[in-house]
Amino acid sequence: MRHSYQPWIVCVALLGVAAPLVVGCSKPGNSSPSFRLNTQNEDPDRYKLIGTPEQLQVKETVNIPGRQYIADALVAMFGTPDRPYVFRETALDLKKIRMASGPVGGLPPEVQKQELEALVKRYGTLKEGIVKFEDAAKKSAAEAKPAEDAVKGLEPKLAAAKTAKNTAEIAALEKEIATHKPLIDAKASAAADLALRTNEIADLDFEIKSYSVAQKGLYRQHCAHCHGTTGGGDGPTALFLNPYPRDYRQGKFKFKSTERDAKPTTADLRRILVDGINDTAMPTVGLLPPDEIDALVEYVKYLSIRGQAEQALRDKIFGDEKVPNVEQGGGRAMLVADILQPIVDGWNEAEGKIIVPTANSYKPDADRTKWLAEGAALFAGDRAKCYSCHGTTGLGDGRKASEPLYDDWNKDKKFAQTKLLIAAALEKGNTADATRLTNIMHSWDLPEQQQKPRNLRLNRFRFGRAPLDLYRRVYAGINGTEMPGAGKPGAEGNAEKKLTEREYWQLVDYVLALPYFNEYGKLPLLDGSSPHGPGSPPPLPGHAKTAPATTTTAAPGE
Amino acid sequence: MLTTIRVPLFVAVVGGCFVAACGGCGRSSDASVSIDENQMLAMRKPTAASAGGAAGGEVGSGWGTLKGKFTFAGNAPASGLLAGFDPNKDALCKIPVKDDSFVVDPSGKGIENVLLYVRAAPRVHPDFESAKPKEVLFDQKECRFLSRVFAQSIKDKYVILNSDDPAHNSNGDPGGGNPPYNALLSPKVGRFDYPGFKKAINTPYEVTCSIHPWMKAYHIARPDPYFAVTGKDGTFTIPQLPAGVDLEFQVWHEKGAAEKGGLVGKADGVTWTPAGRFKIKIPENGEATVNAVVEPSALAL
Repeated sequence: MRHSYQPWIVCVALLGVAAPLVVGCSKPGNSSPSFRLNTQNEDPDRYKLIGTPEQLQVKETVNIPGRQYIADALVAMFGTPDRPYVFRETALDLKKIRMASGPVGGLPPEVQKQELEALVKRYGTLKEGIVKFEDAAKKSAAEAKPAEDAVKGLEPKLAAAKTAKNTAEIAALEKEIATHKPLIDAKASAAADLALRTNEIADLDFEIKSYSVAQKGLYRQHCAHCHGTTGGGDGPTALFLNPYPRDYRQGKFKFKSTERDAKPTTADLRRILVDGINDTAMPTVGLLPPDEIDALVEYVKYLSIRGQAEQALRDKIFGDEKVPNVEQGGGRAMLVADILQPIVDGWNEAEGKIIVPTANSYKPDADRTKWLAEGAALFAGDRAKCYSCHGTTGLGDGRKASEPLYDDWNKDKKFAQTKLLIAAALEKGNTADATRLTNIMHSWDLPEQQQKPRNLRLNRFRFGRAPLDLYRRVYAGINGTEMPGAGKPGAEGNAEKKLTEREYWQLVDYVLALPYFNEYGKLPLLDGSSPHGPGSPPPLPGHAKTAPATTTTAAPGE
Repeated sequence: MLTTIRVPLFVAVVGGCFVAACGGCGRSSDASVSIDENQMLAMRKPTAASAGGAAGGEVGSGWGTLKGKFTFAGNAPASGLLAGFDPNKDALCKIPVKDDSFVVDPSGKGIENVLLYVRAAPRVHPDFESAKPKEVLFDQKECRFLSRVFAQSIKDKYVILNSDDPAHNSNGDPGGGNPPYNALLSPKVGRFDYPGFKKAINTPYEVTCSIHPWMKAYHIARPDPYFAVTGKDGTFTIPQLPAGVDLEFQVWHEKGAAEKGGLVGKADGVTWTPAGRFKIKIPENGEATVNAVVEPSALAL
């Protein structure tokens, strides 16, 4: 069933939104906000949009293992919305993140001042105390030197004894080496103590430097009402929008200049912020000063990496079936190596994965009509299959109502709703399915939204209408959606019949020309000389000649 | 029914706004987890060096084989057409696509496409470690994926082919930090080389075709060679398994009723967990057999 929201409902609803936003957020420092965990299970509020536990026949609350660990680890790695934090290892810019974080206008200056003073004080104490550790390290190193030399001298003898299989000598030598061990161990221990202190000081230095810019609360001012504090695409206004605001937490972005499996570049995110996204609710924030836009870009990355880290932690616990323990290898070293490093590597690779056509590869034929007709044949042909979703005339009407499309974000919602139906059909007391349903359901609040293939006749594209933008759409498709990518163009006559670069440009030009077809098959801007004779629709391969598209869908531009 | 659990629109809208507004302005809606400050700070604490090595467990010695068969205890289902198949969708998809989501051999009642794999192998046979990565081919023909369930090791190169008359696209997201893909494949000769797995996959994920919505397959990539998918007669063989140590197998079928598609069976000498797992010790240089019977209640048909 489809609801059409009446304006009055929206007004009342927006009042509901505005009140807590104004009242709740205008008193910075009064509350201690936190990022929302993806695994909300025991919180009854989460049911509000979908039904009560009783209605869903959920008989037991699910205790997701490791929830406490995940919650603690995420705050350790990323801090809170008011007091963001990142490990130096992530190479994220804490300065920019801090600028975008916090309540609108930032935490009160006196609070920020106190925090900074506490950090500086601790820094001073550690810096002062480190002399002691440096001395200890030097001293134990000097003391260990003779022992190390002695062991160095004994090792060749031990190796020789082992070769000769002289057990008595091996035992004697090993015993002698063991007598030197305490001094060598003491050196290692002192060096480790010093390294620990040095790293702590570096951490503090990193954090203190982030206070050199003022916290402004830019994200909450400009983004959170749609994208939510956590970047889950679940802000107060999200319910009214189609498409929904992006949920950053999967680290998956649709519009970017890079290969399908790559992250967006900083420039891509910046472009979205500056240009907005056509035909969606995403506005531009291009009037903000450049440093504020940069801060927001960094903050989006920060939220995205946080979300990915949360998922990675859940994957790890699910895979190992064991909750890590801080004392036993579940501390920072593991978090950095197993969780953060792979994620950060992915983001760092993006710049090297920008899709670039071969230089000067755009060489349209002099006969533009023929060039476009070839593009049309590709569009409607069985190699590129564009028509199967976008429709033979590009109106985005290629799929039947019985073949709905969902992007990855909505697929999960659809899945949850399917499970919902299953659960409702189940006999009461089937806790196994109820448990499974609950697990899935808690990740999603909003009803599913279908994805529509783009109507290419509107002359509006989500991520730019420059030929290069469309080239990249053909190449990579749209990440997280059913729009496939044709991949790296093949050479002329390639064995895999991949689209060639010439064909890429033909498709691009055809798509760019589509809005100017005033009627099926006619190209009024081309001297009236359609390649297929005046007034006749082009013989698109595999399709009936008489298929005027205008009967089924609104005219372009509507 | 969906409508029975839907709250009235108005309540949903306004209520939703309040719930969401909490998220929006940053008040915690995550009341159930409060941060353990000490643990959090302990995790934030830098380390002088990397963490210590993993604790050693029992590893056994030698190698052995596991063989067996999965048999359906109910009546073999009648074979119909695959849900969503539309003969008018594509003129090149002439042959009606049969439902292969649950296939039982009518004569021996063997269940096809049961996937089983070792959850965590204590060691891996040297033949596997020394073997060069090979290409594993995932193909499609007659508007269906040729493998409904496709298993491989992460070491091998995942290649998607299209031997079919129409163009296809194969859309999948293995998760776990592995690259997602959705590759357009030309008719007859289309080919896509997956960039490579960064991590093993714990539970199979779906591969679909956007052009032909009925097409579906499941894919998994494991860190070792210890997996098998049952054939038409429901049998399987996994050779070169670590012997003399308890190995835990996960059994999976897309219709498995246990959590995440786990399939619970009954077999002599092994005990199944509700998640569709069993433990078994393979004799050195010998073989163990698991002939499992699957009740209809173990499947969500």
